[in-house]
Amino acid sequence: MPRSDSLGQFEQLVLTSVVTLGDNAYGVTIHKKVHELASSKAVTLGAIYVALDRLEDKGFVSSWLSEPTAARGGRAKRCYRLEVPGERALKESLATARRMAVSVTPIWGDPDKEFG
Amino acid sequence: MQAAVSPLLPPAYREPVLGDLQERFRERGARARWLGYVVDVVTTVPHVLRSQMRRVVTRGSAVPGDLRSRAEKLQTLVWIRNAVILFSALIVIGVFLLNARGVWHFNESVSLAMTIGWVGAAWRQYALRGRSTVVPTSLSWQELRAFHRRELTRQMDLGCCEFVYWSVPAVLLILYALAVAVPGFRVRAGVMLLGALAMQNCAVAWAHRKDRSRYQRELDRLDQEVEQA
Repeated sequence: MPRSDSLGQFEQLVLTSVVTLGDNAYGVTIHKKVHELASSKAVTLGAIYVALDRLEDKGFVSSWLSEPTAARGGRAKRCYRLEVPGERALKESLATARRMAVSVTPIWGDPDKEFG
Repeated sequence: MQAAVSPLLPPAYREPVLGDLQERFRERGARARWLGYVVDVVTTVPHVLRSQMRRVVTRGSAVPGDLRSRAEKLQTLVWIRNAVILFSALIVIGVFLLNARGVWHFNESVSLAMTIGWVGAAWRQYALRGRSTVVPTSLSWQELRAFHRRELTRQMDLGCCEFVYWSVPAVLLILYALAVAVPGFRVRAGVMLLGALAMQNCAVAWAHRKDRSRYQRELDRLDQEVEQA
């Protein structure tokens, strides 16, 4: 079966969060960032794990376990990093979104004024 | 609370997910802490289980080459096996409770004996002796290899002894009930019940034999890797 390289909206949000968080991208911080980006939607931590697993299976992100910390009860974090295919897919999605925005703005006006 | 949540999570997810839940627990105010933790657990565990199942199904039996991935894969498969067996124990208890309504008959004694046998054996075998463990972080290659080898050996040693031990009281109880409590004791009924117990033990032994050969292949692979290294 061919592997899908296109990104859903939620996957775009998760990948964007991984990019912006850099080395500090793990479950809790990614959840906070996605919650901030998707201001109108309730996002659960479980949904973040599912999306990260799917992105990892597609080869868009890779993960590793950090050193355990006392703040987490001596447990390690699973940190994520964006990989080259993920970067390419996210850039494609951004370019598509930008083209869509350019096309519809003359008709609907600036969507940022309504939802920003 | 964490002790209750921990066995629900597949081993590969246990450490990071419990750590994330604890971090969020600490970040909350004292009032909302426990309620928030419960909500987090309820909204996280089903997603994690679904994702793990999807990964197992889509990846099939192909074992990734990396030693850590292989060790995690083994623990995940052990966790799934244990979850299925313990779920079957719950079904057996449910069947017994359904049968046990009303007046106590001989059938209920047999059902109780078999339920005790199955649940006791499943608990000893899979929840205590053969439970899954988290692959520790920060291990050197040698330590990780030793850990993986130890875990493979532990699973190989399970056998079906627990089921045989736990069947013995059930067999005795059934025979006693047949001989004492049932007027007109018929040997055929006793033989059928003993046959059912023997078949159950044979099924467990067959499943273990199949697993053992898989674990042995993995042990051979570990030895080959050491020779190559």
